[in-house]
Amino acid sequence: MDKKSYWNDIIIAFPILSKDEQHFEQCDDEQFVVIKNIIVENKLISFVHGMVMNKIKQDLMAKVNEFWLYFMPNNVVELSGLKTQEQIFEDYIGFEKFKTAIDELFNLAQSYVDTINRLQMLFENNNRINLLKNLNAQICALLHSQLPSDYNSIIYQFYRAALKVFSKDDIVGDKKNTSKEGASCCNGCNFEIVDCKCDYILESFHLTNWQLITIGILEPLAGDVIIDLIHQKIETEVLEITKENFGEHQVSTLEKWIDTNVYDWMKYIYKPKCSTTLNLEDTNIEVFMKKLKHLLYESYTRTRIDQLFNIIIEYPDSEPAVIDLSFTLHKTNLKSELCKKLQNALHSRLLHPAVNTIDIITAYTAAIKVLRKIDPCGALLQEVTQPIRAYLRSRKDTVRCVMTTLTEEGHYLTDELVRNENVLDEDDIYEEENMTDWTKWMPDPVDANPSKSSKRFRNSDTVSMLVDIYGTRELFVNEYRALLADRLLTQFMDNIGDEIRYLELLKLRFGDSLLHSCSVMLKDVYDSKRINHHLYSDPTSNLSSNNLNNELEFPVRAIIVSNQFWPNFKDNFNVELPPVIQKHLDNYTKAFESFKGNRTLNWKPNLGIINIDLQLRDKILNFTVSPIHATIIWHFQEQEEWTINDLSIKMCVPATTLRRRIGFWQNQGLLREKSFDKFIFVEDGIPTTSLSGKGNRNSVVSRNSEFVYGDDDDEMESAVASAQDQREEELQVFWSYIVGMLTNLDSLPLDRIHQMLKMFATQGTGVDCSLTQLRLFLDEKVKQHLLIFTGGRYKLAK
Amino acid sequence: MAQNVNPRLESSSSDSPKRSKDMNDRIESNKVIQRLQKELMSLMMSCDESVSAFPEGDNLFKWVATIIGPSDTVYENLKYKLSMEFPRGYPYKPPTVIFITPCFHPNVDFESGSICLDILKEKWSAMYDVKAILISLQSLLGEPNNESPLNVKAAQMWPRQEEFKATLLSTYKDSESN
Repeated sequence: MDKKSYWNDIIIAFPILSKDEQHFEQCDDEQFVVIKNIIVENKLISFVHGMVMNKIKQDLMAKVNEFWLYFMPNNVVELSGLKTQEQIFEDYIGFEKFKTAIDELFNLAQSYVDTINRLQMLFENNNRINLLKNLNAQICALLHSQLPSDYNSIIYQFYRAALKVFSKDDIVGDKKNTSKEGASCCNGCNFEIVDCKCDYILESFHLTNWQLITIGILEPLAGDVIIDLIHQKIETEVLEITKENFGEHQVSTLEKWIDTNVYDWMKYIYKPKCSTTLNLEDTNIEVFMKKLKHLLYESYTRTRIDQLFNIIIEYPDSEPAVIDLSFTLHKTNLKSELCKKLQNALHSRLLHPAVNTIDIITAYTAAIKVLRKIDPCGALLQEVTQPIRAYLRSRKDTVRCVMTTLTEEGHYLTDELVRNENVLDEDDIYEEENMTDWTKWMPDPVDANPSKSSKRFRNSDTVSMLVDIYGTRELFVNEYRALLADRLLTQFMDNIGDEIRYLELLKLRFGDSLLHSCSVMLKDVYDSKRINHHLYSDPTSNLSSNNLNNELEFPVRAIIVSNQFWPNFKDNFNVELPPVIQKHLDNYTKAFESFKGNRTLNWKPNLGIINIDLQLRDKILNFTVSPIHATIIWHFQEQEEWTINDLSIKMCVPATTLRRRIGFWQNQGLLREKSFDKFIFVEDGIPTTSLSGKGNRNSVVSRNSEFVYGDDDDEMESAVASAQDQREEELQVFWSYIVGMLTNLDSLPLDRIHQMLKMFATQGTGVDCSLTQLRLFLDEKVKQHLLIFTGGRYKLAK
Repeated sequence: MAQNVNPRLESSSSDSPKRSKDMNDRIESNKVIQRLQKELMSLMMSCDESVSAFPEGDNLFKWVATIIGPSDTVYENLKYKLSMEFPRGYPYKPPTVIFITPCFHPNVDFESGSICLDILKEKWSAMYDVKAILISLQSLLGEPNNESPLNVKAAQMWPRQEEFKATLLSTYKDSESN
């Protein structure tokens, strides 16, 4: 046999090799075995293999271009049976195109299978060579070598269309897509219901996937697309379900959805029922599902993080969402993102001047609770709330708001205070390492702040966290003292029991010694009550009923305060009361003196309240007002017209204060500003402020009066010096040091003064002063012409 | 002068000779710092504006003091700066006080500023403090001790107050004006 006859034999065995494309009759198996032997004997295996593979490759190359043509946008490949459709959906076109393309490709690949099988037989002794697999790899490689740029879009369309049909009956969280119920279009394929293609789509989809798996290009060609689509599906699903709905547990629902619907979908793609080849093992799908679940957690967490601010505001209604989030957050690595995003949200939505301090505090406490739930160790809490604390520190009324809310009847913080009663001495508890349950010891998470203080911080409860905003308790106690003083002075003898209860609760938290003066204050009030009662019931007293002879007589009740323990009173002017009233006060003083022996009373006539009846032409109005208010209206009964100046001189009250107080009577419609600074009394005026507008914010409430005494902000002004004012006083100590410094050292720059104060002044007083505070303080002194600031140095003014 | 001996030093030297000198020094120095700090505070809190003193820099042992001449004397309204240096043994040893502002005075050396005052030397007592020293110096201005003059010329001129005042003012230089 010469070479020519070998070649002819080979061509008979592998008709693909013939040059003229003329299709030989395929040889039967018997013939093939003979030829095979010839090839093997002549050691032509690798030659034949090379030739055949090369030929196949060339064939494929020519056809791959055709294949990709389907993927071109706006291509002109004819799509049978679709032209007549009026409603042609883009996705559906893509679906058809892809299906056709894969179909052709599959047929092409199948046409080589016989040849390849023959070729495989040449290698029958060698199991390592799997030519079919090689062929598939070849196809795959060739396809990729000519990849057009936007080949994905059609694959997307294909899978999207299928996914839509597939998931049309999805029911997730009872949210069936009912909007299109009764519409003429099918939910799945968007064709008219009578014309529904769903079954057709699913069938072709199934087939195409099987074909892809058989050729082995499902994963290389469409893998990314499938995953991407599932990701999108999960994300939209999560968004849909979690949209502003914090009141339900949703993670479990979503998990179930993933486990059933998405899992089915994956199985549908990767394991077509008729397929015999198991391209993807069961375990592979399992691994894949785990990844998907993680993805679910992640997108859930992300969504919730974006909504976290609202969740916090709506807490405790949003508790289920919080629990879900704490569960998923542990499975993801998004803590730092949570931190950042929440801080941003806080900055843009909470920490700006338009928000009331009380609202910030409410949000802060809610945030504390929510973040505790999410991250029990507290590291996250500390990190996130840091800006809130810093911001609250810059608000002037923070302390007052905290103390008000803490001691206000029925406020949630009051409950908090009651609940956590035994938290004193927390310093001791957290200082020592508790060795008893060392087995339960857990290291802090890696992102926790390792400083010691943070540990204490993390373990403290809500109230302590509020109090710790400033890092010192004295400030709060002082504010409480001022607040208590205010309340006691304006409410008189009512509610002492409640105040005592709050004081006891606060004592548990702040300690007895700090609150000592508050106890004294309450005792003062209690004693005053007793003394009042005694003075009026004792027959020997000149206040007893026997001695009441005057018609205008009215009972005076005094609160006798111990100067040492009460906060300083702010208004230093002493209003000149009408002589009749003053006489009553003197009477009371006399009675007191005779009762108490060596003591007398020093009245503060601008404090306290007076209950007055105003008799007008046709009605009697009852008011409970401050002495200044009462005095103002008193003077109008003698003289109908007053100028601010005259009244100011008569009452010994500064004109500005007077004007503010007159505002109250103006609002009641009883006084009118006739011309500038000149007021007249009107009998039939109409009140300008409606009563309904008055909230219960006002602490001065008189039970039997028709009118409540003013609600304007001026009236809210405290009678006692606030913590802020007391701070000023402390700074005054520094002032004497600064004077001493500058007297002897002539002139000093700011930081030097600060340094010197720190070195020499702070030990004794225990008062601290930051550089900025000092600068403000010194600048204030410059304004008062006590200092001169030149060349960056401060100097005493001469 | 028993009161000018630190009782703790005495007892510790006999009771515990093992205790290192270094340690003792440190404890003593702490005591001195505490004392000086207390004096500074009381000085700052007192409202006397005619005497004042403050540490010069970071060192609590070196102060600058300011006294204003007592009224009804030739020194009226004149401001004098002094430097005070406290020894480690303070208050059992007196501080070194000298005038920074040149002072024409019978008991003050015009050039060096050193002062001849008994309570700063042999009559020093641990009971005195900075304020006491400054007040003594202030009164010394008005009532010089002409028995032991440092500045003979000033001592001789003292009886003639008019002439003394003229000389005083011609030599006086406000430290802040230059």
